[in-house]
Amino acid sequence: MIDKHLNDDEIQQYVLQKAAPGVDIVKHIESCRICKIKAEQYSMLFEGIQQQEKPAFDFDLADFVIKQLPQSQHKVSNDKLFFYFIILISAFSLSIFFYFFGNSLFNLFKGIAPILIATIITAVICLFIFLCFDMYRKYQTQMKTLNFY
Amino acid sequence: MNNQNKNNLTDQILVEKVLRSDTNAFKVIIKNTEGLVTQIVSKMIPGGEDRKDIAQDIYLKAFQKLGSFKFESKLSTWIGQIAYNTCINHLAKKKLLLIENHNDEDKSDDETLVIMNEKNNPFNSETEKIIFNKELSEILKREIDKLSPVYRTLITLYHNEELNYSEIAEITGLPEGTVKSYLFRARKTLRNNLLFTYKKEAL
Repeated sequence: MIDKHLNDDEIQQYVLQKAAPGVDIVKHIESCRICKIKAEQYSMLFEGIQQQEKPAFDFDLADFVIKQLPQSQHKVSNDKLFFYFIILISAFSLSIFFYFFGNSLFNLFKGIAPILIATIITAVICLFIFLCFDMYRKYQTQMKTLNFY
Repeated sequence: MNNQNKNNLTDQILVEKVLRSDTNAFKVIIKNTEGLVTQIVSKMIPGGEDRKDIAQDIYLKAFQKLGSFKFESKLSTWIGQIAYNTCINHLAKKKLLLIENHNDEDKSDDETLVIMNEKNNPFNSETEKIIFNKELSEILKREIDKLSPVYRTLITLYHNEELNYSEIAEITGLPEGTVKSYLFRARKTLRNNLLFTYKKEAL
């Protein structure tokens, strides 16, 4: 038989009876006043927890959510529309710019050495990739925080 | 056919109906899982004001992500997972502590607590037991509220919703061992605090 007092974990397991307690544990609890009281207290505690009133909302959750569903779908489609609108505006602005200033832009780079142009283009592409990557990383972090699942 | 298979089949039928724009099927899902979601939200979120918005947010997320549900778990567990994560995010935004350090040793040594409460032991007679049950329920409610949100939720999921360790681990995203350890600590803290408060009120 176990001589020293059982620890709380053993007593909790004994009371919960999730696994068959060992004979030593049962014998100890039967003969030890302290552990027996502890087991009774845990048993009372678990009974008390189970008897606690179940919380409930003071409104009809199902009706409340169902009312919001069409609005939510509408919002998603609005977001998509906005995204396409931004792309359209950007494409339109670029076309206008190249249409009116295309030649000036070509002349601007005409007198510059090819190595300089290559340096400028490489720097711009690197910067662009870095900014896109950074923006995507921030977007992922924010989505994780806002819509964590 | 066992219960797990039956649940999966019902879940599958309901999800397919919702994906075919049947909002009534989603209403059935809400009714089936409302109890679990209410328990998680009310245990995780201290104030009543935000609970309505959070509960709504949980189901809107579930509705939007339902297409990605893989039936690897019960639908209720999956929605419970969304509920728990939504609450965790809410608490994180409000910078509220998820798990506090409950220092049991400060209150009293364990054996002393048992002996001190032996005189007030509710098991002495049936009448005392009935009176104690009423008092206990009140004190217990207060003591559960004093626990940290995660401990409160774990206790509720295990003892009230009668979920097993693996289901709780799935909902909370905690390893099963951590769930067991947190539950053990929560129960011990609750027992010690309960005895301490009861002893104080009995004097």
